[in-house]
Amino acid sequence: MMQRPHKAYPVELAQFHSADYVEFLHRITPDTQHLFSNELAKYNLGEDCPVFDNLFEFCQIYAGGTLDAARRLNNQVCDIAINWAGGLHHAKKCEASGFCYINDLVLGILELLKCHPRVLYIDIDVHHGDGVEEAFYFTDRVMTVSFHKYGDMFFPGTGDAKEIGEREGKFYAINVPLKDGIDDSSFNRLFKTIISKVVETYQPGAIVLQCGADSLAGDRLGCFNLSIDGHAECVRFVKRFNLPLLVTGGGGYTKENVARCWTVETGVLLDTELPEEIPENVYIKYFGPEFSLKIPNGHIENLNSKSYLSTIKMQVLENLRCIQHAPSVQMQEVPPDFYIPDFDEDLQNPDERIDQHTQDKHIQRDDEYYEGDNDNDHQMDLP
Amino acid sequence: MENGSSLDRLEAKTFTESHGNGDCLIEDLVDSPDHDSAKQKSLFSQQFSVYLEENCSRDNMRPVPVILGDGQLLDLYQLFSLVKEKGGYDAVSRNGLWYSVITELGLDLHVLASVKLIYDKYLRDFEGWLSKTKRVAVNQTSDGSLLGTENLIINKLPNFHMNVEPLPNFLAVRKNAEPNSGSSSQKVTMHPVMYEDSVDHQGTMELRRSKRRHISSNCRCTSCNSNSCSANGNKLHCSVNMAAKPDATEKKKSAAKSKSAKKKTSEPSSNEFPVKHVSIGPRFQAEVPQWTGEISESDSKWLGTQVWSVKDDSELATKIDLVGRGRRGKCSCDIQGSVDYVRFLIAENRMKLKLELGSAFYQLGFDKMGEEVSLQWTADEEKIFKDAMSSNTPSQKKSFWDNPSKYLIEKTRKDVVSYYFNAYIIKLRSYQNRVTPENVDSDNDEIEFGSFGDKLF
Repeated sequence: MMQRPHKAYPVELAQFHSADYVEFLHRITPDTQHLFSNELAKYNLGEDCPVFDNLFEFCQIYAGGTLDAARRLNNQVCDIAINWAGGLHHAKKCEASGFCYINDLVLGILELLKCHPRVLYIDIDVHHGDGVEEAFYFTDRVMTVSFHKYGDMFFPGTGDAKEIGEREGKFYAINVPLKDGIDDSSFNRLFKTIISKVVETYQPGAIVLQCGADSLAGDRLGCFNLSIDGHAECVRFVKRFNLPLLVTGGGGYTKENVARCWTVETGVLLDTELPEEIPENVYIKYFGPEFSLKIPNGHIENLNSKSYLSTIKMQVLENLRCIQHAPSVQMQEVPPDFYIPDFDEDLQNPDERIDQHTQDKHIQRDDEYYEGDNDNDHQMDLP
Repeated sequence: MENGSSLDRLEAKTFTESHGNGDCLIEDLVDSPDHDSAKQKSLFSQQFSVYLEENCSRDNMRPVPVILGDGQLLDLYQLFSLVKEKGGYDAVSRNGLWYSVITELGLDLHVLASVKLIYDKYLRDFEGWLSKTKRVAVNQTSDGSLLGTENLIINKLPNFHMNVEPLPNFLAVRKNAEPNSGSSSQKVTMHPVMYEDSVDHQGTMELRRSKRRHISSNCRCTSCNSNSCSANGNKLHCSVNMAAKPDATEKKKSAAKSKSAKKKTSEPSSNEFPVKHVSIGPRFQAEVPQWTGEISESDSKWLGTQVWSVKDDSELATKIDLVGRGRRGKCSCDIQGSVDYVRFLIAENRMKLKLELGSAFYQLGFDKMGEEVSLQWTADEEKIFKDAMSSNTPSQKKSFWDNPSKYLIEKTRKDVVSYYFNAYIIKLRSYQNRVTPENVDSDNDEIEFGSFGDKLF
């Protein structure tokens, strides 16, 4: 189903952003910007984040998309909501950054928090999801997990594995810093291991997945070597948890690959496999000479050694263990036999997909993906 | 600020000593004779850039050079020395001397507030840093005396020298960058360090190339997204980046080999740069309410308006049909024939889409896509556009995109951008697909391309 979102009102944008910033975005135009050099500097506009005609409307549309998506999920109109125009994860409360002006993800998450005690944010853009992490750095109600390139002065410069959150949010920010050239198998293995553990430990009520396509091979700015299948595998994996899922776009600077990627991922989310060859359409020329949904391998060296990835993984899992033992954070509300749901179960539509609590009662965990030797859990305590 | 001036004297002396000009006794940064003012200015630049490096953090990243609201460039060195002469920021503010600072800088009064603010942001902290650094440097002398002999100080200030010595190269890099990018490279922006290759300097060529590769292959411009670039007339960024692109592609391809080698050499330089941290405070974090166990109302009226949905037909269309078959026009035996055939298929698919979507076809803007857009253009207009794109000077191109309606009177910017993506680049890609299939790039519109016959593509 395709929906036209409403244009987000300034007051909705100000649920996260500062009022003065929103107001400035609303009023500034390319013709008047020369009069406001101080403000432009203050809000980090003008360089990476230029002022252009209809900038504010642009923000209203993509933010409105994510907000409406979150609301649809909250009202259980659908299980998955997609806004490919969203995912501008660098925007900060009081300034723009990395061509992101309004952080639609934060707004969407805040909306989801009205109905879910815990929301999980996953970011597979090649850049660190700094805006979202920063917004929720102090809270345990949102866990942010970002896989990104880190080092060599790569934008934005944050996202070290040591960034784990603070105060109540300590251990609720996870960063997976990677080096150039990571390929499908390394990335998927790491992703699945970490995300399964995260979902198992954190038990979110909803998931927000930012699918930045600049982590693909051949991106103008990115430096990873993922294929479209590798990238889409992450989406497929997250979908399997059967939690309310909000999917957004994000970065991606080789536009044909971005189009390919999000087309394939739309297919994945709809459980539809698409033929490899792109059918004739008005833009078919952009996809020559192969006209395929596949993209060529990047032929770059994978600088992520097995030991490096293993170290990162250990660090992340170690930090996750701290949550299991933290007494103040209630992961299991009560033992299963006496549990009191945090929502009115009577209102649950019995025809809807099984909710997490019921799932927990099943003996066979739905999210047990690794069998035999690949099972990482046999060393750890199962909740 | 007596100590200050003595320190200045010593420091200036050290600087000139290290540059083999020991005869000249320099009293003060400000009172120096003209032939040394260039030296003072370069000394200031060096110190300021060291300061920026050391103090660079998310909170106080400032773009340099500084441009005032009315577009004038503000010379930080001039400002700094004037204020210093008058006793520093505090003294100037207390005694109401900003007026004379502004006048001596030759600026209009209405920028007074801006200049004051700029000094506060850029230079006030620098003042303190400068005296602290000098104190540290001087403390390294064996007797701690401020007025030790010149030789003693020179010999005892190896660290300070090291700060100063390697700077010229780095500074040369950024000086070259400044006219174009206007942003400090420590800002860790994604803004391309826009080098006009024609403005090369022999000596810094090597270093600059490597820095650019270092930076450009890693911290490149998000704003260099063709769509938005064109849409807001920032084509220049893309164009300049594209001029460098052949370099960059090759670099990227050989990046694997060179990067691992480079890693070892680049490690030290990456350690020089400060690590960014997450900002904390009320102006950074979101306000997240406590979970009370009750669900707040999530506005159900703003759920979006439906544009289209799959029809719940009783005769269930097979999934294959819904998805559409893959590409059919593979035959390329006869170029002209296959061109026509592809056109036919595109039109056929478009018709199918229209039938399926109904009114949504128009709502979603499909009617404005494709080469039909060029049907609204006259041959003259298309020629004007093509000439603008093929122009060899980036500034001509920039001037075109800044105000395309000036050149194409009947067309709005929206029309021109639409033509660019729907007609112009399509033709470009057609050409590339057939003639240079190993090197296809829809973001490089600088190559000359022909067309086949007088058909559209």
